[in-house]
Parts: sequence; C-alpha cells; structure tokens
Amino acid sequence: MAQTASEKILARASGRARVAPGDVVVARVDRAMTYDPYAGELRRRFAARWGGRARVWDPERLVLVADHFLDADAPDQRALLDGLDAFAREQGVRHYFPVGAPNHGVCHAVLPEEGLVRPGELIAGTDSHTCHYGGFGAIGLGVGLDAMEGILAVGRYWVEVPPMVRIEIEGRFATGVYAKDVILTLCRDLANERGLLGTAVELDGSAVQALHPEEKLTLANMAAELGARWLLVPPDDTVCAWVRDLGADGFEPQRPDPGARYARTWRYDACDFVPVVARPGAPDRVVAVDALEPTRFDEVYVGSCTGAKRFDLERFVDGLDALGGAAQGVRTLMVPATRRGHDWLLGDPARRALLERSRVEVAAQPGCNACFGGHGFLAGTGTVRLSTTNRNFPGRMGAKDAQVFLASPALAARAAAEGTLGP
Amino acid sequence: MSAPVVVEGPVYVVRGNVDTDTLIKSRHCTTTDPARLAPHCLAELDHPVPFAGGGPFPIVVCAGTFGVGSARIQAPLALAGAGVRAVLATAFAPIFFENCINGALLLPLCATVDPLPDTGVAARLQVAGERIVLSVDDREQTWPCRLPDWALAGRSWMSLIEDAARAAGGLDALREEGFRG
Repeated sequence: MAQTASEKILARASGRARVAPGDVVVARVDRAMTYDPYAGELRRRFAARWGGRARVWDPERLVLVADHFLDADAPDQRALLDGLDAFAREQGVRHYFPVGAPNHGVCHAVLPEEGLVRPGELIAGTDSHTCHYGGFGAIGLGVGLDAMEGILAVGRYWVEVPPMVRIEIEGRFATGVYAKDVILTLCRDLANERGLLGTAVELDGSAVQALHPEEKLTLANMAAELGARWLLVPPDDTVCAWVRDLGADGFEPQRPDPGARYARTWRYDACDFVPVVARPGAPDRVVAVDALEPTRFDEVYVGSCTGAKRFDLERFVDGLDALGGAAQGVRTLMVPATRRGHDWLLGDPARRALLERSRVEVAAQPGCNACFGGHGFLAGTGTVRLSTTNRNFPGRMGAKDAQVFLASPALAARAAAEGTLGP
Repeated sequence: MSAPVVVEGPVYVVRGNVDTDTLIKSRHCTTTDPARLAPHCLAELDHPVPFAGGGPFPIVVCAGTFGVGSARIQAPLALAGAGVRAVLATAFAPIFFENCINGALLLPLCATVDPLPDTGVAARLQVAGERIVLSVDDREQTWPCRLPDWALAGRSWMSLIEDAARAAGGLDALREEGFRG
C-alpha cells in the first residue's frame, strides 16, 4: 500500500512493515541532539537513575551543542555550559560543538552544515525547531526533557503517528520571494488550524523543489510556527548531492509513494506568494510588505537558524550592498548562525568594508542570542525591530513592548538601507 | 483502568492562544526547579487577575491552543510548581502536550469549555477512563479523554523505562532486547 515519506521513515524506525496515522509506535532514533539548557540536567538525572558510570545508549549518535545561554559572565549561564561540557567529556561524545570549536553556533544550523542531517532519518532534538531537519528530508522530531532522558537510556521514544497532510506549490516564485515569505504566508493561512495542528506535513511541488537546500531548511524550521508536529520536504537529487558533499553517505532518502494518502492537501500556485512581513505579536500576523502601513525601524536583526544561515547572510549582504549600505539612524545587528557563517561574513575585505560603512554590529559568538531572549542583542523598551528570526511573541526578544516584525533577509536589507518598509 | 482523577478548586481562564514565552520567559529558564519557576509563570499575561499572586488555581481553562512555541520543559514545570494539576484547552501544541504527560507534571485535556466560567470560580474536574467531566456552578460538561493509559495512571515515561529495565535485568539488557513501551 502506498505510503508517505514520513510513514516510511517511522515504519523503518519502529521495525514495522508500515504504520498509519493513530498508531502509537516506539521508534528508534537515528540521531539525538541536545544543548546547554538541558545537558547538565540530563547528566544529573542520567547518573541519578542509572549510576555515575552508566553510558548513554550510543555516544556516536548523540550531538551536543552550546548555543542558547552563552553569556559566560552570568553564573547561571556559565553553570549550564559547564554541565554540557562535563556531559560531553564523560560520555565521550565526538559530535560536540562548544564555543571555540572549529564550527559551532545554533544547533539547527550546525547539524546540516556538518553532514549530521541525512535524508530519511529520524532525528530527535530538545528544541521545537528540530523540525528544521525536514528541509533535508529527515523527520526532525522536537521533544522535551523527559523524552530525551529516555532516548539517552534506550535510544527510543514513543510517537503517535500524526495525520499526514500535504501542501503543494507549483510554478516558479517571483524574484524577491524567498522561503521566509512562503512559510510566513502559510502561517497566515494555516497556523494552528484544526486541520494542521499536530500533523506531519509534506511540502512539495515544483516551486518548492527549485529552492536552494538551505531555503528548504527555512521552510521546515517554521513548521513549529505552523503548529505541525514536523514538516518534510521530500529530498530531491540536489539535496541528496548537497548532503553527500558534506561527507554523509549510506542514507536512504524517502519520498512519498504515488497514491500515498493524505488527510488533507492544500494546493498553491507560486504566484500566490509575495514578499511579506509578520506584524508584532505572533508569526501568523502576516501582511504583504506592499500593504504594510509605512513603518520606520530602529533596528534590524539578522540572526537565528531561520534567518542567518550562509544563504541568508548572502542575501542580506548582497541586498545591503545593492542599496548602498545602511541608512542613518538604523542600528543593524548580525548574529551569524554558525562559526562558518561568521568567518565567511568577515573573511572578505569588501564585505567587511560594507559592514563597517553601515555600522553593522556583528556578535562575537554565533548562537541563539536574542532570538529567544536569553542574552545579547535584546530589544529595548519601545524599540521597533525587523528580525529574520521565527517568533515574535510579546517579550520574546527583550522588552514586552518592543515591536518585533519578522521578514526575510532580503527585506531586512531593504529595511536597513531605507529605514522603512511599506509603500 | 486507573482510578479516577479528581481536581477541585478555582479555575483560571484564558482566552486565545497561550505561547510558551508567555508561560515562562526564557531568562528564567536556566533552572528546572518548579518552586523557582512558579512566581514567573504567566507573569506578563494581560489578564485582570494575576496568576502567580491570585492563586493557586489547580485548573486552567483556555479557549485556544495552549503551549504554542518552545519545547521548554520549564513551561509545564512552572505551571505544576504554581499548583496547576490540569489544563483544559481547545487544543495543545504537540511538544507541550508530551512534556506534560512524559513528566507526569499535569493533565493536558483537550476540551472546548463553553460557556467559559469566570476566573476564580470553584470547579470540580473528574477524569475517569475515557471521560472528562467539568462541573462549574452545578453545570456539567463532558468530553472524551485521549490520554495514554500510563499518563492517566499518573505514570511518567521514564518510570515505564525503569520498570522495563528492572524486568529485563538492567539497562544494558533492556537495550539488547529493545524497549517497546
């Protein structure tokens, strides 16, 4: 019987011939990721339950990342980083990305850059944006602390197979339309809708498949904002080649069978999408940029796994360059998602000159920074900020009354260069 | 079937979706101690009755999707630390839902409560088998309950793994045979 890509991945992971929505399976994860907010607590719990000498189920399949609380001068954040470090050391974790490693930064940007996201795999992570890995055709399963504690013990976690839904976008996106515009528009139409909440989404179609591999990660990243359990873009040859070029091999990409059944299918034409921004408060408050009331920005923030991968940094820098640099009165803040991205950004004299001319402040450390409000470039009271991140719930990036708009890196460049968006 | 769960006390009522940043801001999330988290729970919600100061409210009712956003365990921990034992909401964000039951922290119950009571009104909630019953002012509303048996029985996910390890003769033996839930 025909199956979706998600069903095939879950069937393999749970040792069954097939699974169907509503089945509860205990699935073996191919990889697990956790980070500084939880590693110390997991280390403590793991030792308390299984003894101080106990080893995690498979240190080769575990990835540990420092990205959220990187303010080493704050004692509580320092303690979290120390806990992560101790856990990595004791367990002999090779895929460990602390500050100072050759590559490090936001977990969801680091794993795909390091060839640790492979099509057809089931990857569990203690973060709601673990769905990001769906951009490379994996199931990115966001889980909580207790789920990860169980995975460290037995390498498995329970999954109720969600309803399968499909979104198809055919045609060709207009110039200036990026993945961020697409996923924000889908949030406008579908976020937390009854037919979509908790589902496994397959996002496909000629317009989607023509996007750059990192753009597919951006689409999958914001499955969290859609309310989906995960989102998977069926991997095409370009994505598979991209992943192989990073040194990954031996994976089995899964695509939906012809005739696979979906509880619901939404069909779009690429022409339905235009550049958009999300207004402050929630990522589904989306309006076409041309219909936005004229809005002046105090700050532009380019950061996060959603909006500061290499592809995103390139779009921002190219846009800023084409428009003649940043306007007076706009504070431009950049937090490259990874060390690789950071080094690319500052590694070219012409780029560095552009950033200096535009008074762009680049964070010393890649990481989550203000995206989740932990530290760094937090938004001050009353600040109007355009951000390339994924969420703008009140107070998330700083002050409760800060006005945070979301948009693509290309629109962020326009906002930085012109100081305003809207007609 | 497990024994019925009964929760009695004043309700706290929220209209619209509740995101995890509203439940607990990230700057408080460097701890997992429920007692330290509780005072900050829903602290910035625009609501006439303060949640942390005005409670405890063992039952939260939400007309919307509850727990939208982050995977942070501190969201249900903060609620549990503040004395919440059940949340009734139109729908739940999936990871928040799983966090609640995996840690046996509180019961996330899908229920569209209509009419919505006022915050502070005394209510009685009973969850028995496959039925949720909420009684407010002699008015009773019922919904089907879709929680796994182990969650209804107040078991945590880790306690199931621990039992299985014991039965198998240790964690290594359990890994060998493969944990099947």
